[in-house]
Parts: sequence; structure tokens; C-alpha cells
Amino acid sequence: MNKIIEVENICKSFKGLKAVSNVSFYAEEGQITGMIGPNGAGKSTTFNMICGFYPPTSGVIKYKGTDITGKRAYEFADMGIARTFQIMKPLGNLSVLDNVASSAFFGRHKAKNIHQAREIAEEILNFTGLISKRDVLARSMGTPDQKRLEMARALATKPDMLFLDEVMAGLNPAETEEAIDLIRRINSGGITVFLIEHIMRAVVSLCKKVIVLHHGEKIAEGTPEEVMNDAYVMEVYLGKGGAD
Amino acid sequence: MKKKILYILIIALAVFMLILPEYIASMPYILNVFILAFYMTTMSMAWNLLGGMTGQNSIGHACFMGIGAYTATLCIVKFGLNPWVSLPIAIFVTAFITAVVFSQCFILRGPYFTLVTIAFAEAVRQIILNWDFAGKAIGLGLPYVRGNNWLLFSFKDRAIYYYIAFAMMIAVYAVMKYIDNSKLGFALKTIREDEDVAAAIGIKPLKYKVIAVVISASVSAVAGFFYACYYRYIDPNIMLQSSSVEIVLPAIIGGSAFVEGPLVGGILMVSLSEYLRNTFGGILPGINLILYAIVLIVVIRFRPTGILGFFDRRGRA
Repeated sequence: MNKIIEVENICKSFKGLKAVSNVSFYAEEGQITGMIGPNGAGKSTTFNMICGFYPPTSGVIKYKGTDITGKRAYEFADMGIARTFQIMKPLGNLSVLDNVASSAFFGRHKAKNIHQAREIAEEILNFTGLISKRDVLARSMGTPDQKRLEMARALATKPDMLFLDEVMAGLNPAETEEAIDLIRRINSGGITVFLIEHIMRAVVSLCKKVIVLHHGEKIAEGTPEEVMNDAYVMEVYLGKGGAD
Repeated sequence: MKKKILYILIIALAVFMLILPEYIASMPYILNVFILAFYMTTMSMAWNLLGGMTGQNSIGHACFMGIGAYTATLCIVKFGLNPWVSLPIAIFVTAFITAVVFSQCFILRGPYFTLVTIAFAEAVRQIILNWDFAGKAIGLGLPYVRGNNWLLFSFKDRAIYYYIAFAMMIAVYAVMKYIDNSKLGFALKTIREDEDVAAAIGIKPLKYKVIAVVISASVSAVAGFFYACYYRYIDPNIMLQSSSVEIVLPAIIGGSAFVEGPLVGGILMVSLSEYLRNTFGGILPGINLILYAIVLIVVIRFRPTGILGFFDRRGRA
């Protein structure tokens, strides 16, 4: 078991407000690891620190054994780390194909020309089921397709490690099922997945390990079953007495 | 089939443009309007690389053109260099100043960046205005040359300027078209749409923004060199705020999201502005500017994506 991502005692304060304090965990290579927690628990903050969008106030983040704390966001794609955004950020005025082609130019594919970039993009669109929308402007698509596009764009950087930030929020049950299937296919292709999710059904069916955050602290870690039966986690989610 | 007709139309138009001077050579005013249109279009395409493609709106492009024009003119007049030697120097100086200044200014986003471009342009204009060596407010004149002289880049025959301006415009268009489909173009467009996404897929936003502004300024410097050689006289007024705005308009009117936008907008707006001035300017002074403004407002109101936006089907999906 190789630890692909190791987080050691990271903290983040925003002007005195402690958003994340002393969180440590690791993700195993080739697995799907999940992170859950109520709103404002510090999930996205932790996520953004690991992906280099802002540095932790203290603590160390390691990727494949090397310290990557403080690396800038644009250095991550070359290391093989890709991410999606919780609030979708489609390149609105570009076609879906070109949204993905842009990643193929950069990331680790390093396409030489536009034909090669679009070829790679088409493959990814086929894989993610967006091929029928290839010529549509990204901004004119609905939430489910934009969530898919987030994943497609991340995949086109040819990552080893994929961070997904609530890619199932706002989807109906059928769409959620499709998204779960897609994530499973991504993972079976050898990409390690780390995801933040609110939808428990998805977390239970996908993740081998789950980390629970609350008020910026890690309160539990383990298999989905272990975590869901944890008394404190139940209290956090359902209120005091909910465990009875 | 449709593409074939389009190609035939474009070739026909190009041939028409090439033989046109034969017929209007006796009308220097018309010839001048065409040269002005080509020049403005070139400047607008330079602006569009930074404004339309990268999303960094500059209202200081007249200053890039001015730095190019002044550097070239100073090289010719004060150092006695040949124009062909002065041109690369002008490009280099403009690119260098831009790179140094703007690599520091790109931490500013949106309207704040635009303010910096205005301040930068005004600062450069004030420096020239108070600099003896550069002729202060009086400006600089280029030496008079007899006949047509390619070596000294001066022509009695205005039609040659027409061809040079036309070639400059087409060459810049070709460069922009190439960039649009290249890795660089995708980086710039991704930055325009969202800088966080750009960073997430491995694009270093600052690096590419600086590349964009340097290319844009270099093209402006070439246009500035042409301007100086054509009018044979420059003064600090070429860097006025209003000139910078005039450079932006063709791109916006034509459609700044398209490489062809400034091309369509430049040709249309310059001809329109000159036509209005000619027809109405004598009747009631200023009426031409009012009519021009009305056209601007109407286009922006009904199609913010510009004239080419009317033909873009993708936006209505």
C-alpha cells in the first residue's frame, strides 16, 4: 500500500478564524478516498490547500513522498494532480471540445498541435459521455453536463491523482448513479481519486476509506460503515440523542 | 460547398483590394481613408490579442504604438539610423518596456488592470511631452525624401503605402489566426474565461499574460513605425486617451471574441466615420460624431458580442 497523498497536521487560519486545525490523513494509491462533514467543516479549505490554491498556515503535504507544501496551483498539473471546482467553472465561451482540448495542450499530454489536442479531447468526451455535446458552448449546458465537463477537463491533464469537489451536488438520483459509475471507471483506469461529497449513498458505494471533518478538525476515519456507526459522527450529523 | 463560395469571395475581395489603387490613385483622400482603415485595423487586432483573447482590457494601446513610433523616429532623426534598422529597435524597446512594466501590473485584475493601462499611457505621454530630446509638444518630423525610396522607407507614390498597410494588416491577421489555434491561444482563452481553471490545468497565468501583452505591444510598435513613416511627423497627441479608445472600438464593434472581429469592425467603422465626416461634417459641425456614437450604441445595445455575433450559431444553443 503506497501512500500517494500524505497530509500532516495542516492548519489554516483566515485572519484569526481557524478554518482547519491539525488535520492529518493519507490517501492510498489506486483507491477512492472520501471526505465528508457538515457545511463549514473545512472540507473545501483542506481541499484547496492540498491543490495549492492557498498554502496552509502550518503543516506538511506530501505527494508520492515529496513535500509539495507551498507549491503553486499551476505546478500541480505537471505533477499529475488534477482537480474539479465545487462551483463549476466552465470556459463558457468555448465549445465543450475546446474546453477539454485546452487541458490536453497543457497538463501532461502536452499536445503538439490543435489536431492532436482535439483528438485527445474527443477520446475523453467519449469516455465521459459528453461527445454528443462537443460543439455546444460550455456555458449553455445544464448542471449535470457542466459537472461532467469539470471531470473531463481534469482527466484531460492525464493525472495520477484526481480531486473531486462535490461533483454530485445538484444531480438527481439517476444522474448521481451515472456519476458514480463514471468515477468508478476513472478509478479502474488506475487513477487515485479523492472526493468531497455530501451524498452518503455515493460515498458508501465508492469509498474504501472516509475521513470526517467537523469544525475544522478530523473527528473520524475508517471504512464508510465504521464511520457511520461512530457515535460522535452521528451526533454531529443528527444532533444529540440521534444515536439512540 | 458553402466553404468554397466563401473562399472564392475572399479571393475576389483580395484581388479587388490589390487592384483598387489603380483606380483611386488620383483621389488621395480616398487612398488615405483606406490606409487609415488598414492601420486602425492592425492596431485593433493587436489590442484584440490582449483584450479579446486574453480578457485583459487595455485602454492604453495608443501608447505602445507611440513608444514604437517615437523610438523609430528618434533612431532615424537623432542617431541617423536607417528605418529598416530602426524598426527592430523600436519593436525591441516597446516589448522590453511593456514586459518590465506589465509583469508587475498583472496581479491587478479586471477594471484595476484597465486603470493601470490608462495611467501607463498617460505617464509615457507626459514624459515625452516634457522631454527635450524627444521634441516636447512640438513633436518630431522625419526627413524629406525625394521620390520613392525603399531603403529610406519613404514614398511619393501613396499607393505604395496602401500596399504596405494592406500587407501589414493581412500579415498581422495571419499571425493572430495562427495564435488562435495554437497552444498559446488556448492558454490565453482559458485565462480569459477563468484564471483558476487555467492554473488548475497547468497554465501559469502571469507568464502567458506577459507573452500576450508583449506580442500585442510589438505589433503596435510596427503599426507605430508605419504611422511615423507615413505621416512623416509625430507628436505626443498620438498617445492621447481618445486614440486608445479609437483602437478598442473596431474590435468591440466587429466582435472581440473573433479573430476576424477587428478586421470587420475596423474596415466598417473607419469608412463610416470618414463618410459621415465628409457628408455631414460640413452641414453641421459635430453631427458626424453624434451619428457615429449612435451607431456604436445601437450595435452594443443589440449585439454586445459585435457584428460577427449575429453569425455565430453556437451562442444560441
